[in-house]
Amino acid sequence: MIKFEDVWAGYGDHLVLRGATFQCPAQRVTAIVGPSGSGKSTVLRLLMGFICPSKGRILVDGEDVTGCSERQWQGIRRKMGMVFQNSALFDSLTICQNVGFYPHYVERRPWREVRREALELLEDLGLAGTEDKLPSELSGGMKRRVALARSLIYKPQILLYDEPTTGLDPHMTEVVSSLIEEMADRFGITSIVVSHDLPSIYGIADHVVLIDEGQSVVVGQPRQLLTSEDERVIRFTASWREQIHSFSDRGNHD
Amino acid sequence: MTIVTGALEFIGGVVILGWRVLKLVFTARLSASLLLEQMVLLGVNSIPITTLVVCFAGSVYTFVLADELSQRNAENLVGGLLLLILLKELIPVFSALVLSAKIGAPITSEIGTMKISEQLDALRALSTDHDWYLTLPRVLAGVIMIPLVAVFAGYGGWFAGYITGHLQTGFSYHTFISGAKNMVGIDDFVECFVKCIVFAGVIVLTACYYGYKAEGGAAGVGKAVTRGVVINILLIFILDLLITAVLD
Repeated sequence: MIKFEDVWAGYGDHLVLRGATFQCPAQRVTAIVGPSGSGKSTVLRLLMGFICPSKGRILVDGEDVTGCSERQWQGIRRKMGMVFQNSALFDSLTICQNVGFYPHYVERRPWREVRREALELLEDLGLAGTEDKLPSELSGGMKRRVALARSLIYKPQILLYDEPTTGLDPHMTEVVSSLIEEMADRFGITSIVVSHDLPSIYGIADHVVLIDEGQSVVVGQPRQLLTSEDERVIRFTASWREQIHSFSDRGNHD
Repeated sequence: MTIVTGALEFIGGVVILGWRVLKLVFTARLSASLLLEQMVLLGVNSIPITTLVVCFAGSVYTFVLADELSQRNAENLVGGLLLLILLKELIPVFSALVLSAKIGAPITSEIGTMKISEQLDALRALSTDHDWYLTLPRVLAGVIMIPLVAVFAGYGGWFAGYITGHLQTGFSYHTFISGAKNMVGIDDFVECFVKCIVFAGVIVLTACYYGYKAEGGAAGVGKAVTRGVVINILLIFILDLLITAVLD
């Protein structure tokens, strides 16, 4: 389980999170939603130890990780994985080298063995045949899956996704969303998905947290995005609720 | 930011980076594959261009020396003076100037691009120290290979000088080399070697430093590359003067 307790954080003088307090249940998919600039990605950066909170505590499986040194974070990150918004694949390495990075360079396992494992994982994710290509030769959706494979290969307990479906077509959005759900169900991975793509979140999340102007609102189950009477939730989901109503009205007329 | 604070920030940043690399040399298990890859990229691939540049420089200096000294019946000094100039300046300084562009610019560009595209964050997310993965192999490869590159460049400059002098005034190789034995000592070779090692470390550390500092997209990476090359050129001449003053 991940807990944020009254966390304040920002960049320089600019405060982004102001007293965020919420929990992400273990082995579940938690969606962190909110408007652009509200502090969603800052939550992930705090969880990965890329920035430190100026106030508050962050607990990962009961361990207080606030104020850990970079060396300590290197140990903590071994049980975490992150899929970046733009995938952040190493562009001078092949797809197979990207996927096998952690076991080869961090765990120091022989390349022959790592390559075999990487190829199996790529095949599982529908990327057979891409192993010797460079990231620049792949589409956005394929890069996201490679980024996922790069994290999955060392079997993390926690996976963070930063806008995993942004910029993808509807079919690829569905593929990536299904993968996120499958990782949580099949491997029991605690998944935290930062997104503003409400329709895809609705289908896969077990728990939703809204970040609005740096403050957190615990929404609960995804259906409460539509039924919540909290002003902030209503404001954020207004256009989505309108869309759903207009679709259902159109359906009634048809 | 004033020039003084900028200079202090740079010196502090490079010293801290160098210190982190030095600690890794003694504490971390180096990846042989990463080191070998950089030795080829920074060293082997730099031999042709560096040798070519020093060849031309050696030829030009011999041209001037041979012309002046032959008028004074002192052709036997050409070889010695050329070797002295090669060891003191042409090999270390000209090689370093070429390498600040040949290897410094790509290092800054690569690391800068990795920074702006979150690849450095991805390294941290994969529990990988980016100094271990990026800086250390490059610094070690530079320090190991640049003196070797200098050897090739030196031979190139020496023989280019001989051919130029021979074609210009007709003196023999025996005449060319005789002066060298009298004018050049082991301390000149040591000075050349020390300069090469120091310049190698400075070029790579400065290039890495500016790469890590890059921000503001592609334009920011471009600025970082330019800044890195310009600062390297400046540092090469400043350090050249300091080392010569200390060792001479």
